[in-house]
Amino acid sequence: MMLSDFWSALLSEAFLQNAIIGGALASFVCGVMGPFVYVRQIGYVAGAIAHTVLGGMGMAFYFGFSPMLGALTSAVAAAFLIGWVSLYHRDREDSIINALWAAGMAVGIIFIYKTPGYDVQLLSYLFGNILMITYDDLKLMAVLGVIIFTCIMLFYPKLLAVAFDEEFARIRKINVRFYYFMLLVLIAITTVLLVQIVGLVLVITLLVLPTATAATFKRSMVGIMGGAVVGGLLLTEGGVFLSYGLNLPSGPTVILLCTVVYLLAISYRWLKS
Amino acid sequence: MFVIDIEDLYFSYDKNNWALKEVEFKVRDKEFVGVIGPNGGGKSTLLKLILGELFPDRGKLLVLGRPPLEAVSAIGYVPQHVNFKRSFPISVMEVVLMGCLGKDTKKIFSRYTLEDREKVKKVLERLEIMHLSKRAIGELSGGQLQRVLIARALVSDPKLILLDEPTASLDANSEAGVFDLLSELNKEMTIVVVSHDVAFVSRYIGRVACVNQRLSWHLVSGLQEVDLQKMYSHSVCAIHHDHDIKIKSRGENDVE
Ligand SMILES: Nc1ncnc2c1ncn2[C@@H]1O[C@H](COP(=O)(O)OP(=O)(O)O)[C@@H](O)[C@H]1O
Ligand SMILES: [Mg+2]
Repeated sequence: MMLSDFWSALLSEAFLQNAIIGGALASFVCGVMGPFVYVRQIGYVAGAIAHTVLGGMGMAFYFGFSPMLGALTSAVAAAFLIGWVSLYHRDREDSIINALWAAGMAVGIIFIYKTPGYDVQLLSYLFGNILMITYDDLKLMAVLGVIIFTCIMLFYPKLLAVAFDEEFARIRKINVRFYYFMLLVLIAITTVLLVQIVGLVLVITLLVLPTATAATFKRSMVGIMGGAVVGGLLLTEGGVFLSYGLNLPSGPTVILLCTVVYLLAISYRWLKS
Repeated sequence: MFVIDIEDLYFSYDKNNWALKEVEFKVRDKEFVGVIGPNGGGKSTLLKLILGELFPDRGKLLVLGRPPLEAVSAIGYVPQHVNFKRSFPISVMEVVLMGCLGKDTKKIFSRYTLEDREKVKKVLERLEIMHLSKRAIGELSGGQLQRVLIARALVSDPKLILLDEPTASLDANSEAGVFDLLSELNKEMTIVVVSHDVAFVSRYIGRVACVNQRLSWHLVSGLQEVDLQKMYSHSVCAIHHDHDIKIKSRGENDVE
């Protein structure tokens, strides 16, 4: 397929426009949050939160309330639970995260299975379908995106200080726990946002890979953020283009693209040194 | 008034062993004090008590005439271990800016001000590391990183600066550089520096506190080089204070 075909389809098809805008919003949020996940090495926490999102959405379908509300509630609850465990019961952190991971998924699948007409969509919640984003989804994503960006902007120095050197931050009377919880809640919001786009299985990858790619070239947080935003944008839109043109599922396409680019980046680094 | 005023202080991490006991530690304004002692003697613990990171089980502890938590914005601290990964993507400028945090705890949204940045530049210039300001911390040598950490401690204009083995990982040249810098800073502020290297400390410092669960003072001028050598290879406290301190290995410390 030619780029010009894609272009004319883009001008006429609303779902493609939604996919492009949704991809841009997701890349932006990932690029802003990813570096914090990267420096604190809590990709697995994001993974666990993402899986509890499925539980929340499943229950929302079954009981008939907004899936977004279900996703948000369960993600934030998971964030608080993980935060509490990792602050006060460090030795159990690993088990709790695994339990949430598995149970969240199990709850989600059971409820989706029990809800007539929804079980066919299960795969799309696992792997996402960027080509099915609605206009209402976009509005919600934009609101969440603004919330995340505003929080990061306002609290950036303290979030960075806590991530960089917890002891020093504590001595300077920064409430280390508060900012850890804030970061986890922001990750939860990000996860909710991304589950709609790439599906929960692939959330972690999109949150981690553009950042990791940018980090092989940039040596500052802001540099990595910029690189991850721009890189993520190119990768998701490239993925949309490929999945539309080659008739491939969009989520896996985006992720494979991210993975290939990441591998190229670290190979390049490795060859250069 | 003493800058640090500690009397009859006891501290334990667990209730069975005193990490510090019967400690009296009084430091005057603009003094340059060394703290030495065996590994596990309680030197770092003493600094953390002064910072308000730990709380004494009993005894008096005032810093600048106030409880530590109220004085902490006037204390600069250079920790013994770097608590961060050297690969953390952050520039020298950003690290030093963190020293500006916590001046005003009521401010929730802490953007750095232009004033903060000017202050950081001044400190970087003074420590002769201005040219490194845009470097990532992972690209610095040990001596350069140590200067960055000192800069971070200095930007808040502290009246007292605590350094925990700031030269432990440095070669002799960088070590001399750091101590030269400290004696320069000493004109403006009180300095307490923990060091392993007794011989080195003695060249710069008037008074040395030896911490091994208990604390005892030494006047450096009275010590002979030979003594210092012996002290360094054995236990400092063993030589000069065997009349009042029983030397015990770690873990044997009993609570009385
Ligand atoms: N966080 C901690 N928890 C329990 N014990 C500790 C802790 N930190 C230090 N200790 C113990 O307290 C004693 C003093 O340690 P420290 O102050 O680090 O000694 P130094 O700095 O002189 O080497 C040691 O016996 C050490 O094992
Ligand atoms: Mg120590």
